[in-house]
Amino acid sequence: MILTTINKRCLQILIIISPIFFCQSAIGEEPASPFVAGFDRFARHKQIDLKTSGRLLVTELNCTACHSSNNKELQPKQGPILTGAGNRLQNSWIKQFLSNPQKTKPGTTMPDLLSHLSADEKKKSIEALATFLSTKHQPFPELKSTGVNPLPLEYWKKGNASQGEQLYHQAGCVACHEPDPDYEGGSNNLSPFDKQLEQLDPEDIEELGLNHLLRPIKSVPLPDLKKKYTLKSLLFFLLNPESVRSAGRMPNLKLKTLEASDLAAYLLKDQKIKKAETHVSDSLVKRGQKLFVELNCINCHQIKGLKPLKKFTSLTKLNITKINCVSNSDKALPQFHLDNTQIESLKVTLTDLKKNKNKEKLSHQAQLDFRILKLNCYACHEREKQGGIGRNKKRFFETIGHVDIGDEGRFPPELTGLGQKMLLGLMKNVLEGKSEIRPFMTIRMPRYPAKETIPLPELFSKADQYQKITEATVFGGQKGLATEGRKLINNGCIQCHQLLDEKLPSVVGVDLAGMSKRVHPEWFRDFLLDPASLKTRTRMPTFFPDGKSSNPDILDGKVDRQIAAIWAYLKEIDKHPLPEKILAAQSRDTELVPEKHPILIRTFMKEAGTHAIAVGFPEKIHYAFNAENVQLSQLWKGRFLDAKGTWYERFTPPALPLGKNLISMPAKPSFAFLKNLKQDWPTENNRIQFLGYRLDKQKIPTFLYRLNNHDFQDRISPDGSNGFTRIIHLNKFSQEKNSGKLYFLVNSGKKLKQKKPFSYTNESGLTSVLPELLSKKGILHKQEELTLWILPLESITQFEVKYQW
Amino acid sequence: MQKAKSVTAALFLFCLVIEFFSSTSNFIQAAESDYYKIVSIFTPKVQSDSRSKNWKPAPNGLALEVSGMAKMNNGRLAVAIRKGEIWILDGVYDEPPKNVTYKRFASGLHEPLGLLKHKDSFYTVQRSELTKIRDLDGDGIADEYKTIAKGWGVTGHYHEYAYGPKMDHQGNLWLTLNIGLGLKAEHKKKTLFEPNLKVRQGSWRGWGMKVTPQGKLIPVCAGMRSPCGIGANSEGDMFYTDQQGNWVGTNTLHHMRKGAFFHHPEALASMVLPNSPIKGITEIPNGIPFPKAIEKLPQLKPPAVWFPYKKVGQSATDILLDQSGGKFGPFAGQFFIGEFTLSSINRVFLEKIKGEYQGACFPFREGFASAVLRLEQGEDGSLFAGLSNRGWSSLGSASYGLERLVWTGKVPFEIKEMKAKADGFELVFTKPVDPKSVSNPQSYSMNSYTYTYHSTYGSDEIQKKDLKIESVKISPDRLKAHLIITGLREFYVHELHVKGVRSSTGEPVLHPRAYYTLNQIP
Repeated sequence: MILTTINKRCLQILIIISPIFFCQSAIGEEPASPFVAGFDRFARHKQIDLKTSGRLLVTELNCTACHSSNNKELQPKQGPILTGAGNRLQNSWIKQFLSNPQKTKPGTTMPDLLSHLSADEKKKSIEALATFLSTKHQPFPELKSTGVNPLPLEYWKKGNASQGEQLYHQAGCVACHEPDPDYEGGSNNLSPFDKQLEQLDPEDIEELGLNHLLRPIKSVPLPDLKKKYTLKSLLFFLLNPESVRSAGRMPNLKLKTLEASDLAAYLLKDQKIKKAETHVSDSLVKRGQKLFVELNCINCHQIKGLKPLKKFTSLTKLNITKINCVSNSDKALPQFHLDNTQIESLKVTLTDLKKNKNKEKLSHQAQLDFRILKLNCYACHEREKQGGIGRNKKRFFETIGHVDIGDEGRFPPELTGLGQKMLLGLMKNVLEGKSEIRPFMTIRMPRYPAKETIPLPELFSKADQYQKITEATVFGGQKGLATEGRKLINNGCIQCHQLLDEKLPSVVGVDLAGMSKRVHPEWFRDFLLDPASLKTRTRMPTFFPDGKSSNPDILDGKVDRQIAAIWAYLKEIDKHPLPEKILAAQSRDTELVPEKHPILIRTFMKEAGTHAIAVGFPEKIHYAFNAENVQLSQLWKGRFLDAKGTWYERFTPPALPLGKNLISMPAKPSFAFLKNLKQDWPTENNRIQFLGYRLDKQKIPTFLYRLNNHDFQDRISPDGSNGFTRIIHLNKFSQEKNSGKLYFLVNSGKKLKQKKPFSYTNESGLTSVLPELLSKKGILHKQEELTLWILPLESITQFEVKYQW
Repeated sequence: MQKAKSVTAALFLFCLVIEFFSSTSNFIQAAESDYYKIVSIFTPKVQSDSRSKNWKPAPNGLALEVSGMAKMNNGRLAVAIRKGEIWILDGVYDEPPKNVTYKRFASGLHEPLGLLKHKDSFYTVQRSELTKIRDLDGDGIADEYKTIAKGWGVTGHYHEYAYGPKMDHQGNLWLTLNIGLGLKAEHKKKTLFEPNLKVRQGSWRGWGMKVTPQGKLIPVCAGMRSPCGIGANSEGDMFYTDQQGNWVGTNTLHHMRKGAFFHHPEALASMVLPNSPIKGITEIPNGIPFPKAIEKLPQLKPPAVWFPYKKVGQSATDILLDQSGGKFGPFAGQFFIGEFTLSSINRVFLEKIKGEYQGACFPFREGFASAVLRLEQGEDGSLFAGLSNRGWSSLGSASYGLERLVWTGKVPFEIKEMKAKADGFELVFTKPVDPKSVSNPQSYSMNSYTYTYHSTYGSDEIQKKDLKIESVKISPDRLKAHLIITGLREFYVHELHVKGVRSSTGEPVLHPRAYYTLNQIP
């Protein structure tokens, strides 16, 4: 709209012209023909038949973008969406690419559509097309920097190229694209299988039919990215490739924004962009737009608001002898630069399609194979001895932290028998990028556009002839088995697996929680019985050698019951505690275990409040002191305390005593000034001041506090492991008058019983013992239903009380 | 009409193309490190997410989540860590710091968020008290933990962080207290309720307090949200930083003085306490521009500096006064402000206009390994950056640790000071300028804006206006430029870009943006 108003005016605007670099050929030799990963890897080495390889070219070269087909399998992958070409691509690159696509980006599947024009006409057309595309702007998304996902200002300029290099070689880019020969990272460990291969002589390898395993896999070529993109445009492409390339041939690696920024910084390292002036005229833009439609660019490259113009003969009606794009003649148009193998495959396929009029029904297996061929799942995954990571790329696949857990810790899993193993819902989640089952691998399972992968789960299931068997059929009744399953897992699985993200130290393996939502029950049973039968080269041992359990004491050693029990526990894991060994490991780093000296920790506690001071002793008796109202609050025995919540948890949960025999001290002030004995013991003491504590040579704290004109020193230490001895010093530091006499609360309860001499025991089991002389001074003070045993402190400067429970 | 449209179209195209190609790589970061280099002392990588419930420190490592630092003599540094310990580090000035030793001095503290060394004692604010810690028997391990002051509300809510202390010139120890956010029933039991404003918080939550040398705890000023940083300027006046959130449009720096109310109204629950220096606020404006809110509520004091969100950080932390006298470069006497989320340090220039502090902030150095929570200046003038990002998120590769920022001796070309003038601003540069670029008004651009004062989390920049740079006068020594500007607005942030400015040797300004909070026009 705006452009139409620019009448016959040339506008001076800045356009960038980058210096011409040599074309970067990513795969060494310059391919004269379009590169299609599956074709190059399998068709050229007769690992797939001609018909299939031709069909692959039909979709990947976008034949059906013009020559339509109603066959769902043969829909074109389409070219990049160009709605935002103006701010995504450097204009000089567009021009260079249009002038000779195959030379500018060797291996490109984009044909030359201008080869029939004279040099002058061609130049003008390119100028018009490029100018038109330069006006096609689509704003980049505005990403907000938040507390959870912080982004620096102008984050696209701040990528770290060396971290980008790591990502490029670790996250999965090199599964398809060429690694940097100078990259120093990667694993030098050959997998045991590769070691064996290494030792075989070439004849043996050929005889064993393993040649394909030795062949280096060629990489999907990249254009000269520095000439094509800017940091910002490449970053946003990497974050969301399907927004430009809708078929998911370049899948989404689930990069975080800053990772994409790092990767862009690496791929465009030392990029120099020069500014130059050029003219944009409205008439040129219009001419470019017209050409874009007339030359059928629009058939492959979507641009908002434009539609294809011409109708072409449909695929099955093509006359194979006459179509000139399937030839290597100079006059071919569009000019694909196909090689002979490609031409032959296409001809076989087109003849076949014409003969069958598209009516041939592909088997599920064939449909599946074709789909994973198109998506190049084979770059990472092996299925039925086809594909898998190429030998030349294996070193880039690592376990995070280089932990050796065998091939299955480094390489994406085989897809052979997947339909028998995995639940449909999980397959869907994985393809949509919602499930991370192997976070220990550096490679990431990418996300694919739904339209390309929706049929896959069903196809796997049908191709692998999965027959549903119910859980009950496989395992029988599971009631009450989970507890036994927990023991079995404790004895074995957790040596290599984690559960709900919790694990033994240095364990790296698949998290077993949620297993029942991932795999079919019968697969689970069969796998446990004999792991290697379902997963070649797995490190998973069998716990049932010769069909016998290695845990004969659990469930009478019955194998089927034991497997059912493991399943039951994993299924109900939320309702049960984690296995014992994991629980022990969990608290090992944060459980406070007093060994030589007592341990003191200030924290929040339910009973001792928000000013709690917990003190644990090697004698395995412990107490919590409330420093807010200055009272001894709680006593317990056994294990002391887990500091995890206090040390590391954001929401600061109250610390729980770990031990047993917890006993609460009377919830009343320890000291009170009473005018007479008819006066009630106060419920709180606002005037008491906590003044801190000192540690003595044994690291036992003495608490310091003040009430009116009295200073107190209060030391509580173990009396063996039976209980505590508490010694309190009083110092009256001024003669100021108090309203009443000072008393100490020795014990209180609804029922106080004298079980031993000089002591009283309350209904919770707390026994307070005073020395004989003092006990005689003690007074039983009734207050509603409570009886308080109180000690008048007049003229006393030190006293002792023992607590037993 | 036709012509006007064409011009619009031309501008439209022009802008798009410029925007597209304005991305150049990385030069700010590279250049920052030419002047100030980051030395890692301890930056382990942790796989736990900073907000994970199962957060764990690096295996077998010291969880050096630095929450307080105090330099000691003989090249030692005391470090408080969030799990409740104080460690004494030796060898921290070595380059590279390969032989650092770590010795635990104190333990059992409840999330200390500050550390001060004064005479023979350490002082730290724990969640529930200000504690003085000493080693009485000289074995290098603390044995006395004396409670110097307590009595503020601690409901048990996680957000009730307590920070400090820092000392003023009279020997008072200052501390600041977070607001609890979203108190639950178990927390509400320990709160105060102010019936007019209907606000509820633990006592003195959201307040700045001082403790006299005699141990008296005095409430000073209120309305803080998450006052993570405290610091004195060279005059001994006390400042604190606050973090963007509800009632706080963006991060701020405030001068703490008696009776001032800053923004978060829930702090006013403590007006019910007899010794509150703030009384009688009965209504809080909500949803109006901050300058309007000041008119309506005279107790509401504007921040000395607003830190525009993202442009100068996302969560301000510690305040450090550069007392190096030039050993840390050209910014002696200015503040450095830690930044949590973006793992960086910003810089603040303050001046006093009509008796109140105001000034400008500038980005200074980014690229720390984790959230910069604490700052301390070493004996040699270098800055220690104490790192910890647990509970929130930050840029960088580590979850916690200790780094040191060392001046390389090269002076960056920066706006050292930005001073308000009746007719504009005066810029003082760190190096002589190129008169041609600096006297050209086209080398600059300025706009101003403010924030909405409201109960919502954060605020956009509102009421934005471009200002015109009329002319520029350069001082004879070529270190100052006086910008004559029309359209200044009191209480608004004035954002200045100096893209065209060059030094006499042709360098562009390292950080070509400055943000001045113009509360008063002199």
